[in-house]
Amino acid sequence: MSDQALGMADPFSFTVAAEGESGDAIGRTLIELARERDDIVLIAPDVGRGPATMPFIEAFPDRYIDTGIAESNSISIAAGLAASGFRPFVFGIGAFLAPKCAEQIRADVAVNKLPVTFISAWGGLDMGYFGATHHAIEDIAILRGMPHLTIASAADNAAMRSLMRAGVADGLPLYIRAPSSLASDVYPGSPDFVRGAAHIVAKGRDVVLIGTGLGTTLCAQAAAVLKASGVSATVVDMAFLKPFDGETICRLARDARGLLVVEEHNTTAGLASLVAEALGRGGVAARMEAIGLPDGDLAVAIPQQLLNRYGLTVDAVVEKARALAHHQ
Amino acid sequence: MSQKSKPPYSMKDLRHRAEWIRLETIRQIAGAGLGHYSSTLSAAEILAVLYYRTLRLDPKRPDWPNRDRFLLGKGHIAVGLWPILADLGYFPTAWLDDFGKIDSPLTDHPSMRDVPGIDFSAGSIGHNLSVGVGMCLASRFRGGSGRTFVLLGDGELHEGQLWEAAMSAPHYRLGNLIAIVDANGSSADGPTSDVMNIEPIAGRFEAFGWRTVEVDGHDVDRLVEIFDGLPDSTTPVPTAIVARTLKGKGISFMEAAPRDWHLGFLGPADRKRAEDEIRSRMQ
Repeated sequence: MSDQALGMADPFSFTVAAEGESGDAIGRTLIELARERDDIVLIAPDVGRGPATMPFIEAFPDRYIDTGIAESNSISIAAGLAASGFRPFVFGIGAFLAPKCAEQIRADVAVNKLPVTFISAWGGLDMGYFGATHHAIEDIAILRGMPHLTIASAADNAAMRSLMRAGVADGLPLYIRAPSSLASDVYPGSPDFVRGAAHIVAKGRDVVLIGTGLGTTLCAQAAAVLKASGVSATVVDMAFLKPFDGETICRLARDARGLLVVEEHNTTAGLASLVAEALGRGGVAARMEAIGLPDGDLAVAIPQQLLNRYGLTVDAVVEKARALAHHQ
Repeated sequence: MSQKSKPPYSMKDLRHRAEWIRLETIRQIAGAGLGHYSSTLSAAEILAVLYYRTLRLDPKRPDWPNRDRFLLGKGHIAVGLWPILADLGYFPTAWLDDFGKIDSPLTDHPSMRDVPGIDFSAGSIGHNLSVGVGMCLASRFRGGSGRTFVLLGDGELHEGQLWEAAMSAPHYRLGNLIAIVDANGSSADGPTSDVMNIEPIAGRFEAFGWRTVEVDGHDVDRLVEIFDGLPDSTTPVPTAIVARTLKGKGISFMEAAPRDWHLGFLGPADRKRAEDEIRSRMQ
């Protein structure tokens, strides 16, 4: 069966990503950065020779380090390189970065404030076909208590490129959730992200749709549908989960009939929790709904089936947003 | 005090410095109220030889890119490192008086962000051989000759990541990486190999592709011979030095009950007994 028939990205395909695929953005940006700076190196635990990073390896074979299936080692090696003046990228499977290597990320990279960028690829439900072990839906929860670590989530390829470039420029520890294989364009050009700032994608007056990663894609598409039916929605891309722009959330919440959070993450400790916490700290009473993944057993299937099951669809966002807009 | 003597240091000087490290360890812990005695004592000769003879350093330029690097895998013996780094001029010796107190840069485990001369933080056992691999790769990328020395505990060999690192160093042909195992034979729950067998240590490293050397870790002459004879850093094979040591070395009642003194505090009478023993060897 072809990848397309499955409706999912095949991480182990040894072909180069087609233009417009998320891997294409990662590979192109790595090459771009490596041409600009001689301190860019790529480390991957036996997942480098796939579509996202193969173009970089072909262009810069001497700047690629394969650690084999040893995720923990790959992160501590990156820390050693960073402590010696390099700007390493660690590219790995989302399910095996934060959950398996939380301690290396914390003790070796975050606490030491070292400029390592983690690319969490095939995150969220992207590998949900392979089993519960492959759901990467608690990484934000695992990482957000770690000092100095910026946590970001790319809604599309343009966002991914901007986040990767911003991370290298900042020289701080950065974890980026790569765009979902099912994400589509949110940004027409390169978004100009400010570290830790919410990014307003569309302005409206009735409801506020708050997304991150695939959630932002769904919110942007839902806003267009809502507009046609007379509901005006603000769309906010929380590209940064940490630092978290609670002020913008509170400001928008004061003027809206309700907030809807959409995330491809466990809602008990991800974006929905961050939003609720911001509202509480800001003393803002607001009606809030969330679409995301439940804290319990998750189904195993190809990503689109899983997204349908858990309401991570444009239709489900539209329906919930409409209910919020019409709530008396 | 012979720690004021100038390099090159005689074997007697180096032995003297190891004893001085022991005294300074006791003094710092006395101020802090709690500390890691016995596993610091086992490494005193190794630290003395490395810092006063082997490592290529410039304390005036702690960030000199081509320096040798030293990492603690067993980060809990930083108390033995602090007097050395102060003596070499990395920071004022007055810092030693505040070891372990709140806001002191000198902590039980070292932080690279707080103390000049610390090449990498330590605290979680089993990470820093991997970090050393990263540093050796960095040196190779830059065409530098700097080496990285990582001092491991023998209990640290229980950690899985240690063997990920041990597998990768020969694969990347990192002859500029030197692992030293302070094989004092004890981890928290008992004799290391009773808790989880780690022997043969040298045989295991050899099986992973390392060159290995066994040595009495308190024999300064042999340590000097081995460190002086390290192959050129461009060699493709990393070196593992298995230093057989005594946990609590140099204080008889700690040697007799090393686990009781892994973490502890010497009362005034015991402190005097310990210091007298050490000073008697420094005559």
